[in-house]
Amino acid sequence: MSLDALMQSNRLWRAGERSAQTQALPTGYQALDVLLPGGGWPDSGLVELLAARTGIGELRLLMPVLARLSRGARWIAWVAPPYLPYAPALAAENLDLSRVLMVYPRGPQDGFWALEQALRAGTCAAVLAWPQTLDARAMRRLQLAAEAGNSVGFLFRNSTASRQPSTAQLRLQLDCPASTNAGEIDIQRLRVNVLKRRGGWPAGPVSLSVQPAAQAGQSPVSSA
Amino acid sequence: MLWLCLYLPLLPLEVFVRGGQDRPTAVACKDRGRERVLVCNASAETLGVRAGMRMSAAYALAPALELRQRNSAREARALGHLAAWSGQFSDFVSLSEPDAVLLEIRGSLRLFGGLEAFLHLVERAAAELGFRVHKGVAPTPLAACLLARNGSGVASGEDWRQRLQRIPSAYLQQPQATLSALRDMGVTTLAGCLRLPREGLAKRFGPEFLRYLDRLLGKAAHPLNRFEAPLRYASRIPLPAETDSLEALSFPLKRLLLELCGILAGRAAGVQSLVIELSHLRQPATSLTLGLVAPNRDAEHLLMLVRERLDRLPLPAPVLEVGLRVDRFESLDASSGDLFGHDQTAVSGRFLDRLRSRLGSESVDGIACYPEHRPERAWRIAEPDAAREVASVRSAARPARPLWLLPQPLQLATRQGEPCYEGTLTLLEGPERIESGWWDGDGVIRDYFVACNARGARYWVFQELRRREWFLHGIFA
Repeated sequence: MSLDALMQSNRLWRAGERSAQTQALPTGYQALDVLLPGGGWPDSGLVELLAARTGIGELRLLMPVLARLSRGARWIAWVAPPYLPYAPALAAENLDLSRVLMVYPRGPQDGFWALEQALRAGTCAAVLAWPQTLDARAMRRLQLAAEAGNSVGFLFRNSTASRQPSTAQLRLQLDCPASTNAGEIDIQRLRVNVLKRRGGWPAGPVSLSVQPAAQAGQSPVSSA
Repeated sequence: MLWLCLYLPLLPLEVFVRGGQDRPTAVACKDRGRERVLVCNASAETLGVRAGMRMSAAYALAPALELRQRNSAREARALGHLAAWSGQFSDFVSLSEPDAVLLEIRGSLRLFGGLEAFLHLVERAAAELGFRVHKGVAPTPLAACLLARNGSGVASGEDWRQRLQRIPSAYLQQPQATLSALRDMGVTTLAGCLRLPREGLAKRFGPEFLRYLDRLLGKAAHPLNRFEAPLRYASRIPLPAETDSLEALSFPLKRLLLELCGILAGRAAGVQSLVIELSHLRQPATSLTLGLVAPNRDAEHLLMLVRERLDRLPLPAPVLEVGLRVDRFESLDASSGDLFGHDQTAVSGRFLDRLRSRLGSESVDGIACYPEHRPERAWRIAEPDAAREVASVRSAARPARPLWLLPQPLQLATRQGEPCYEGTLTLLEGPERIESGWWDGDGVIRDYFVACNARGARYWVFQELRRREWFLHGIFA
């Protein structure tokens, strides 16, 4: 492989250059966009989301991008979600439910197979999964599958996974900020730390408002 | 008019074993009171076995010879399938029983890129089914048959009658008595036959023989019956030996699927459901039904789905015979065959097929909203992609809903009347009173709250107002 070809390929990044080789999908959160290469989620590849616990708004973080992607022709696939994805809440977040695909494999082996298929098929814009264990080789396979299928895979993992090295394109740590004052508690906030990004050093944290979308009749909550 | 004859010299053998087979195998039938070899495969031939030989002689030459009794019913079925399959190449197909199919191909040549390319395509497709085919092309059906029986030949030019002259008279489709008589008269070729005076031939062999010659040379019209293929398919291929290996099963399966898809292509149809049957020795057959998201006739895709299923199917015993059955053909636009691979909906359909064939059809769903007040009933499982109409049914103004719902509300412990879940819960928003369903015996009276624990996780909890118990129902993930 020539040097030029190597420089063109997606697998190499040059330190100090925050290039946007893949198309970026705006996250819907300005404060987060500025931290991410290209100004948003990658449109293909893996994104690891290491959440400290369930219920801090970790899924809400993806709602703006999923809503946008659901307007396209491709699926938003959920592979083995740990709870029931609640249709009224997704609809309130402006997701087009006709593009939402739920996949319930019977075991972890089928789960990995389904995840890889969904990423590789080219018919899923985004794939969400909650893998229990994932070694480096499996991760690499998924990364390649996502690139081949031009899909973005959002992998929700336990925060203990941060100790493992990762071949994902982007790795974020999600936590809820220690509430500073009592007035803030009404708004759900998520603290995001960028542990790994292509073409840049770790960055953050930023605190984002992940208040669920309130429907008409509720006072809108600004994310200022 | 131009006719293509597909002649299957090994059909009696191929209904038992398709494709190459190492063991010497022969099919026998009764002929003049004695068992004689009708056809045999190449490995029997190398041992000296020949068609027409008595069985005792054949066994003497090849003691390990595997002998099958001729099964004419099976041959007729196989020929019918091949005729239906030929429908993809021509709009007029006719049977030339017992072992050939006739196609009118003048109209097809342009579509398939000329005679040579067309014949090449047909030959390759037939070989993929596992049939040895001899082809004959000529302006009359009988001439095409004669050329095919003589071992493939094309006589499509102006001089086609000349090309026929040299063919030995033994290949004429006439009663054995006629052929022997011709031989005894010293007539060895068609040319010799045509030199004889017509009156004499008519007197000797009957007017039938003259009519045959006239039709052969295009001097008399030869009306043929159009073959009408049934709108369903069922066929079986016996395996050369019992097996439970997926690879070994894939070969006959692929042949069946290719045949099916060829038939479908001829009828501008597709299948949405097919049944695979695997027969075992002294065991009930294993049957598996494959459903598809949309009608399809892509053999590769179907084979992949079937393999995916077989890979995970425990077989009770090795397999003797593989069968494929389709009871219903669905219409599938002829043009979509070309669009496959580009059309987004077709590609998505294949992806769903693939998931469902491996994971089971119930494991892939869509979701939809449903107008109901009880939160657990405000959504439904839907066919993927079917939720489009329902999605527009938006509920009236109401507070936020959590992204995760628990499959069953989880009862919470309380501490001094306050609900606890990984610590005491602080109620942030609420109550939202939901009282509904008294009419169907599953009524609820609940006050819903958004609550939060000390670690910052947010939950959707409710208090059951009859018993004052607290439940966790959702998570604001």
